[in-house]
Amino acid sequence: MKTTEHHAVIIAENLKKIYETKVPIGLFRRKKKRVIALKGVSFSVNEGEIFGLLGPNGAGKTTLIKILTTLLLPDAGRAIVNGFDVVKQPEEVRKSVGVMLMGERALYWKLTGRENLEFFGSLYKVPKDILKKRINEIVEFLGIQEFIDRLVETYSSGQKVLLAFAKALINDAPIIFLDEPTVALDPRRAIEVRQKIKKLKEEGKTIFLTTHIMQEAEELCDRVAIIDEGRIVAIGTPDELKRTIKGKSAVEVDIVCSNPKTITITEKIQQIDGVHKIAWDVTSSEKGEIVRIRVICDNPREILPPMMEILLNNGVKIHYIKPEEPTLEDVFLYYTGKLLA
Amino acid sequence: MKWNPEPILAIFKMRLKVYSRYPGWIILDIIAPIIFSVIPFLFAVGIAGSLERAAEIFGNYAGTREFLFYIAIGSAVWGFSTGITWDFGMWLYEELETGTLEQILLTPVKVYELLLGAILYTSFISTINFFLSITIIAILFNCLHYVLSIDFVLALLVVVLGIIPLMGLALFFGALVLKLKEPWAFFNFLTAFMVFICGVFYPITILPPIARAIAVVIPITIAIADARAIIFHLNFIFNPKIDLILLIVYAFLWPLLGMHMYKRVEKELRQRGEITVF
Repeated sequence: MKTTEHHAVIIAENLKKIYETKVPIGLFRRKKKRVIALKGVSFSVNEGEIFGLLGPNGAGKTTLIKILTTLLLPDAGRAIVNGFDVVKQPEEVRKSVGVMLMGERALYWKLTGRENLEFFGSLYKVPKDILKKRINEIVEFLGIQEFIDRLVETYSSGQKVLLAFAKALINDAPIIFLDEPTVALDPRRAIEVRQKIKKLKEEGKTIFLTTHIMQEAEELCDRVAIIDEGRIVAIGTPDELKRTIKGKSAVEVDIVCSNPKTITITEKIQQIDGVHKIAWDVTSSEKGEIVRIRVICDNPREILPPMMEILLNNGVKIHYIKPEEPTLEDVFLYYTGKLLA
Repeated sequence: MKWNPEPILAIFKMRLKVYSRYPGWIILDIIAPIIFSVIPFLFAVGIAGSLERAAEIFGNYAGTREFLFYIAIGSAVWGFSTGITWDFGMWLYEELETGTLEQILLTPVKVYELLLGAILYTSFISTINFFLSITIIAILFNCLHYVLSIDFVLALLVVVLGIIPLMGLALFFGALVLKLKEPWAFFNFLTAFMVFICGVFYPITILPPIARAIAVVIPITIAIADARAIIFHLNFIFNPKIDLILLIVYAFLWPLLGMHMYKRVEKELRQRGEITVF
C-alpha cells in the first residue's frame, strides 16, 4: 500500500514569549509592563503545504512569525525550521526562509525595485548571474515589469506590497512566510497574488501565511490554525474546523444602529437560549452606521423570533437577516468570540 | 568554503546609490571642508592679531610654526576617523528607523560583513573629504610641499593602520546606539569629548595627565599625533615603536570588545523584540 508521508518542515513546541515594555509615567520615570504574547504554542507545518495562521490583532501572529524567522528569541519552548533550531542555528534558518512582513517599511525608497532585489539577493549571496536571471523570472512571475525600474518612493501601496513579495522570493527558499500578502492590494491584484501563492505551492514551496481574509484562508490553505490571546485554539483543514462546529448554524444580521444601542442589543441576543457566540462590527455609510452581527447558534428557527423582537423593540432598521451554513469565519467566531475582518 | 565578499560590496553599492540620489549631500560634502579649512586661519588672526604672531605662539608649545597645516592634519585625520567610528552606528540607527534593519537581519548576513560594507562606504566618502580638505589647505596656505613628501605617505600609512581598531570602536558605538536609541545626543556629546581629548587642534601634552591617559586609549589620538610627528618631525606619543605596538594591540582589542558588545546588544534586541523599536 502506498502511503503519503508528511514531513514537518516547521515545528513549534510550547513556544512562550513575554514582552516587557516600559510605559512613560513622567519625564524620566518609566513603569514596567508585562505583555504575554505567546502562552505555549505548539504546531507543525508539513512540507509543501500552505498553512494559514488566523487571529485578531494582538493575538500573537507577528510574534510567532518573528520567532520562526529568527527576528525574535522565544523565552521558552523550541522551534525547528527546515531542520534547524531557530535559536541555535539562526543563520541556517535564515537561508531556508523567504520572508514578507507586513508594512511598507521593508524597502529602500531611494532605490528602484530592481536595485532593492539586487541588494537583498546579494545579502543572500546569490551568485550574480543567477541573481540577474532570478530577478527577471520573479518580475515576470508577479507581473511587475511596469514599475520595477522606478524608484520605490513613486510606488503605490499595492506596488510596494508586490515588491515585498518579490523580495521574499529572491533567495528561492523552500519555506516562505507571508504576513498579510494581499492586505493593500486591489481585488484584481489580490486574486493574482493568490494564484501566484498556489503556483508556489505547486513548485513544492511550503507557505506559512497570515491573513485577515477568511475567503483567502479557505481558498488557499491546506490547514489553518486559529490563534487567540497567545494560544492556538483550533487547528486543522478548513473542512475539519468547520466540522468541529457541526450541528451549529450561523445567522447574519445587518442593521442601522448607533454604537451604545448595539451593545445593549447584542447583550440581549447573547442571553437567548441556544446562542453560543455573538460578535459584531461596524461600517459607516451615508445612511449611518451599518452594524453587521454574526450569531452562532444551535437552531436558527428557535432564535430568530426572540432576536427579531429584540431588534424591533429597540427600533433599529433591519437591512438583512439570514440563517447561513457555518463558514471558517464562524469557526473563528466560535473559538475566539471575535470577528476577524 | 570560498569567501564571498558580495554582501560587503552590496552594502557599499547600496549606500553609494542612496547617497548619489541626494545631490544636496554631495554639494555639502564638497563645501564643508573648504569652510572648515578657513576657520583656523580666522581664529589665529582674530586671537593673535596676525598670522605671523599666531605661528610664533603656536610654535612655542607645538614645536612647529606651521599651525594651519598642523590643525588641518588633525582635523582631517579626526574627520576621517570619526566618520568611520560613527557612521556604522548612525547607519544602523537609520536602518532601524526606516524599517530596513529588520529586513537585513532576516538575511544570513554576518555582523562583520555589515560592518565592512558600512566601513567601505564611509572610507570611500571620508577619503575623498580627507584629500579635498588637505589639498585645499595646502594650496591656500602654501603647504603643498608637505603633501608631496614621502613623510606624508608614511603618515597616511599610520592613519590606515588606525582604521582596524576604529572598526572595533565602530561596532562598540553601533551597539551603544542600538541599545540606548538616542544616537544624536550620544553623538554630539562624544564628538565634542573626542575633539577635546584626542588633540585635534592642539598636542595632547597640554592636557592634564588623567585626560592624556584616557586619550591614548582612543586609537584616533595616536593616529593624529603620529601623522603629525612624521610630517613635522615632532615627538611621537611615546616613541614610534611603542605607538605602533599600541595600535597593533588596539587592532585586536577594540574589534574583540566591539564584536562582544554588538552581539550582546543584538541578542538583547532579539530577546526583547526591539529590532523595530527606535
